[in-house]
Amino acid sequence: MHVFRALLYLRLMSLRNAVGHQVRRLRQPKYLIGAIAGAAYFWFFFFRQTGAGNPVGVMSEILKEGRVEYFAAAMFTLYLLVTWITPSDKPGLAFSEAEVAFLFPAPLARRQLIHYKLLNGLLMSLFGAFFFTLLSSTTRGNWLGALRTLGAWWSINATLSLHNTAAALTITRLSAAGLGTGRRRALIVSLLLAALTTGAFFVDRDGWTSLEILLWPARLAVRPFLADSFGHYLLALIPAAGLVALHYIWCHRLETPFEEASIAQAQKLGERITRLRAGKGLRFGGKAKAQRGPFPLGDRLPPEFAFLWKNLLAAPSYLNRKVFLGAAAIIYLGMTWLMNHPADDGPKIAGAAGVIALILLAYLLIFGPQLARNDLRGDIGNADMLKAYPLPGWRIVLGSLLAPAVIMTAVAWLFLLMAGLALLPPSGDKALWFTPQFRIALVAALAVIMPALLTVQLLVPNTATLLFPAWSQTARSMGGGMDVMGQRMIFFFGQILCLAAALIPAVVLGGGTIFLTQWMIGLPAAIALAVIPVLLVFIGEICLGVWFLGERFEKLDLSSELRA
Amino acid sequence: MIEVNGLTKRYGDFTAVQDLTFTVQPGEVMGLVGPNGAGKTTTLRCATGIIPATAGSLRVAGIDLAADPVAAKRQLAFFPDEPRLFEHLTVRQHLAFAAKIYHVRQHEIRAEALLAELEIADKGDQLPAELSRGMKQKLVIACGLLHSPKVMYFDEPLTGLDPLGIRRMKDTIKRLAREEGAAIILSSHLLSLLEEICTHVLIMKKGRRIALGTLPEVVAQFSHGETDVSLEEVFIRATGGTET
Repeated sequence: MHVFRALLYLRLMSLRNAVGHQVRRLRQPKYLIGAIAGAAYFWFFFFRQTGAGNPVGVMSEILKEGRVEYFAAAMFTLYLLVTWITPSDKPGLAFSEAEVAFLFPAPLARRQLIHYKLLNGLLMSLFGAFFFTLLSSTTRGNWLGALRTLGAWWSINATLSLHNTAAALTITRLSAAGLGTGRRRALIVSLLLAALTTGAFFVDRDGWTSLEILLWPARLAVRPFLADSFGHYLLALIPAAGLVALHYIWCHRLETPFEEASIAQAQKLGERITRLRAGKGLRFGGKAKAQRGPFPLGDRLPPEFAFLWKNLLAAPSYLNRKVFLGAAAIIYLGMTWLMNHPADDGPKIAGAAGVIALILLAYLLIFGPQLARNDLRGDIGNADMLKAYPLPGWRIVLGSLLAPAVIMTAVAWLFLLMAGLALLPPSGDKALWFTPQFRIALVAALAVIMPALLTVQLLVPNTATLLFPAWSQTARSMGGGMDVMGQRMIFFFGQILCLAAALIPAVVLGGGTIFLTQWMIGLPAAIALAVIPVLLVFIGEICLGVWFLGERFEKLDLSSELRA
Repeated sequence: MIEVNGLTKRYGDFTAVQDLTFTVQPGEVMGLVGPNGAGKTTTLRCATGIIPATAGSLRVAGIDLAADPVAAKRQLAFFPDEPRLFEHLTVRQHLAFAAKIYHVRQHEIRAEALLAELEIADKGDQLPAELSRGMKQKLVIACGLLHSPKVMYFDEPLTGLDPLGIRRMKDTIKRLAREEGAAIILSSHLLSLLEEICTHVLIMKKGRRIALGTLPEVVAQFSHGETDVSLEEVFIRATGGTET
């Protein structure tokens, strides 16, 4: 029993210290401001909202209407099937590096470790249930209802979590026994089809369909959530809790070796944390591979191109010239084919694709600069090294901005190409101005200003990184909390605000140019002419931003910024 | 040559380095020692131009670091304790990148010579993740030496190296000072390393200079007439045996 007391102590103290750490760091203004922003967002979104406006609330309302039990059970079953057909690469029982270091060599039985991990999973399920309960609009101001919802969500979460663990452990056993992925999937699908066919043949005559039989366990799990009275809820909770208990026993009884997979996973997790703390961001798609340079780094090129060269090498290998040219060719051929096949609704489909492309372009402008991190944000951990280079700060900043600007410009051009090819004149007589020349001028003008606009947008997150390096480091760390959520929101709204501020003078000047000159030189030429003042505004903003960031970079001292 | 005059670095109310003055001539290797928190790393970071000094002046190869940091940085190389490399660049790509940053024209011949000298020529197309700690350290040295710096700063250069790597690192530092006339500052907690390769020693504590001079001079200062006093004993006497 002392072992469980020790493990419980570990868990409770970790939780207490984590909460205490988060509370203590609110003494620093940067976290306090973030926490206030996060709390305000939480309050307005979850508590002050009237009606069932939030997505989970809406879903809860929908689920309580009609024969939703089957729908929910079907979703539940589908999720379970996915865990068997395409399991995650994580081991069934995942331990942290510290747990591996302390618990694996400790005088603990394997079963005790399994109990510890399973109970820990159940505790995590409870936290998840608590969060979903907060999201549920039906629980607002109703504590008993909230407790009911909490219990219902917990039984669902716990069953799914334990089933995941059991599936992963079973698959490990099957793999060890020589059953590969392909054969395992074939076996599962065959078993599923056999169950459905057999059920259809034998059971349908008694009033039960084979689908009902298949969904029966899942229906037990979701019933507490859908119960219409407290009595029904309690009755539904008993089999749901039984399902959780059965899963627990199943996991515990599986004699699957988990140690090696857990150690490997702990090391991977440790590497990810180290990367994040070093400001390198998450890496997707496995280990880095050596690649040829994206272009020859000749002697005559200025050093900014060395940063472009380096950061393009760090970008995923599929973001290359051939892929972009291939995508452009496919878009051109596809859209042209669609536009030339009105009988098959081709223009309508192309139009829809064009609208989607424009929406994606808008997303790229707002979210792209936040997501593309192969600039100063990726190198902030190496700031000491960069600062030792014989280059003024502005050149390092400019060089760092080039790679994400180039990549995002290429993506934006693809969206523009798609939208441009799909642009159709509005119906009616008033569309005389919509000439092919207008279409070409508009798309070409947007294509020309896009690199500058995206570079302006990239200045925003890089400014945030240099002005608030501690925030940047925190946002990349694995830690969470209200304050970090608030910080992310402040970054996002800052991005929107700066986009608006950057666009206003450009739009005023560009619009003015078009308005004043279109009468003399025609609309397409006026659009082309308007590119000049717009570009000048953006270039001015870039120069100002790069100069400011360069000055800031030269004065940056991470050791003092991160001293707190 | 490295000339430091009245260097002071403050972080708010905290003074990390206080009125530090010293000079390192070409061919000299100065060992920077002191207890944890003495201000060694801050001194190195100020001397490389990584962080600005609060007060005082620093000259690298005769160039004022504050007035013309770019020209001064062209003359120096900084080797941090942890080899910091770009994970997506191969060994040769690192050298190509460094050559571009330091304006080294036709760098390939010198780069290959350095790779051969440091015995990592066969690793030229490998990424840092595929290299051992020692290999990474060698790559950092190759990148740092590519532009033939006149001033070098080493921060804990032996961290993580195996015995063979330690021997080679010591030989490299000695050769750079003696044969190429580089002015070198070396920060380390390993007093045996200092005894072996340093011509001068600067002992710091709480951001201040405790002792400065050649090894025999510093030993004499704290031996109080005793003979065979080790550098370790000198260090303990100089710093009072505490960090604070």
